[in-house]
Amino acid sequence: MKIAIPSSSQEEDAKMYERFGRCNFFCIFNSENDTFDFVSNPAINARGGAGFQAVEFLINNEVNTVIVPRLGPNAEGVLRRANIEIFQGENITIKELVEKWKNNALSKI
Amino acid sequence: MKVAIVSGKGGTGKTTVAVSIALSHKKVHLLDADVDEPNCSLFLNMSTEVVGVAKIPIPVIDKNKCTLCGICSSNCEYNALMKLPGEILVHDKMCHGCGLCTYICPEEAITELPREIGKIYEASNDNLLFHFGEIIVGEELSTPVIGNLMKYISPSKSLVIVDSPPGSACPMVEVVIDSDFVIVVSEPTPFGLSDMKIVIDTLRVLDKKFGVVINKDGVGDDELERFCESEQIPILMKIPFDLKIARNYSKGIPLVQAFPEYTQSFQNMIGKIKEIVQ
Repeated sequence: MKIAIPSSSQEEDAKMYERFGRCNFFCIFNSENDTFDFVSNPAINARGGAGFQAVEFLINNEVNTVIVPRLGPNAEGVLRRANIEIFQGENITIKELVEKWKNNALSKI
Repeated sequence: MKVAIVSGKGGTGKTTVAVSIALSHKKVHLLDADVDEPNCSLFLNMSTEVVGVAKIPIPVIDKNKCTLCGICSSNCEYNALMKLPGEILVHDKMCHGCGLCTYICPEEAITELPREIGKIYEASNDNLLFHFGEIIVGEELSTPVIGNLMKYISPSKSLVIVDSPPGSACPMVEVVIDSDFVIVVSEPTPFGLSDMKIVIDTLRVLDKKFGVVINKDGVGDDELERFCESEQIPILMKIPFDLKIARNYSKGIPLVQAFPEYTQSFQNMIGKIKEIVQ
């Protein structure tokens, strides 16, 4: 399972970024081998529809779960349409969020 | 002769100038192309009616023909198409109606359906033909509404005045592109000057003839006037900063009705512009 979390830097100790579609990077955590990958978000400078473009990018990266701060209507609509699980994040580090997700301590939205 | 009225900064007096020119002349066609907030009608006291609908073509995908190759979505400049597992999603409001997806689809699976984004209104009396466009609330693309409005320009009117939206981007370019002359309405403040310079850069790229009207003259400094002199840009007219003018404006009374002495000034300005154009 691959879980994406918006991030401002490429470190697991960074806090989750407060915007989804226009974050600098996505941290993609792979639960099968317990690895953290950081990928640049191609939608960061989109003139419009950043949420759509970011979700399409995540789908192409085989992401099936996201942990998010808050979502715009564009991103939320297509995440649901694509059957991607959405969990409400908190203002803590990416590593801590992943631990909480593993322990089923995040709420699904 | 087609004259566009533009400004960089909003609120410099485009509508004041456009309406005043229209009311100072006979056989005029006035078009309010500030389709996000058209307000010329507030000063004209004419009853308007809807005469047209502005539409843009949006793609419709035939799911039986679509192979989900993703060529359409990966080439859409506006992120209006999105490839999901099992379907291509069309985001109507993101679509600029450019038609690229229809053109490049290798399966010919895309057709286009018109989507309404605005309306065109008309009013007329003996001296004045008036049109304005209005975008539907929630829509974002004013340029196609303006393009649609421009199709109503009457060839039988000797003077066509088009009131542009503020700024210097696509909507303004759509207004000035076919004009013979552009009046840049500005105010003598640092904001006014800064935004006017961007508009002038744009007009020079478009190779347009233009001149400046200084509105609210006396409110700021003389930097704008010095800039025009050093760049040899004609100053067509000055309208003083005057509370009496502002009060009448706020009541919806056109400048030339509140102060008929301005009629001559606007006629002189159009005379001057005719000379420059010829």
